[in-house]
Amino acid sequence: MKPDGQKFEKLARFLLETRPVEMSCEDWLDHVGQYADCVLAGECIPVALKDVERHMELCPECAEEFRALLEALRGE
Amino acid sequence: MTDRTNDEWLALLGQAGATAEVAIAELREVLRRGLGKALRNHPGADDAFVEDVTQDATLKVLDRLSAFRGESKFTTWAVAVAVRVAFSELRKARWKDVSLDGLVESGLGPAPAAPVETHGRLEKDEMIAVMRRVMETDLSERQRFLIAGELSGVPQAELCERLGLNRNALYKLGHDARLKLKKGLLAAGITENDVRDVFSIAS
Repeated sequence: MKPDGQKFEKLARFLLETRPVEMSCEDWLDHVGQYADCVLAGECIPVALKDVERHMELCPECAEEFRALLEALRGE
Repeated sequence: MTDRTNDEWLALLGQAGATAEVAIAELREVLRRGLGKALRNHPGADDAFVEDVTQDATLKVLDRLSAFRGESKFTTWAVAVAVRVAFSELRKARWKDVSLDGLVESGLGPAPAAPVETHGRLEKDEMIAVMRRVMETDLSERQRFLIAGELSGVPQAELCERLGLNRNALYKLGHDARLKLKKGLLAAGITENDVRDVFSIAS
């Protein structure tokens, strides 16, 4: 696929995930600790935390920070 | 990391004098260990960087204590804050000498001069032309700059600095842009299913 095609496919994916109300990066930071605790404990993710997952679909930086957070916490 | 409860952490960090100093030193150690693991094998994150960013992150955590909602372990929240501080610094360093002149042109390409006529099933080039046209007509210059930056991988911290916005305001600007773009595509007769078909994105 041409570079333009890749960029616009990424934009298309963002648009398909876009909702009228979304969690911002700051809101995400407030909630990601609880989400990470659930993941590390192998617990089901509560419905109230689904927006944390959805935000990471739209925000590669928060997704990158989440992967790093799990690395930081594993084995503790 | 530690068996201390959230309430104990908050009580100790909220005190004055030597008790708080001991707790702050323990917090710093928790963050240093966490960042060391999070940044292991990360280019640009050597021991000196981890040391520096641990200091900054400790201050940031202490500054944001009132934002801790108690829904996670305190240390999980604190390490999450520290990871954000560290990655913001790394991203800034990576992009500090990169010019963003011409970002919109290179990131989004030229918009068609006239509305794009669409008939029946769209080809990818036609869809991209419509998206470019809607961005040109419906989005502000700042929104186009932001979208182009995001699609080109420019970090949010860099976009915040160039646009003079904090991260929340940047996210809102981008969210508004995406909503306008969706609305504009719909007004041009393009549905979510059309977008999925053209880019082969599963439901």
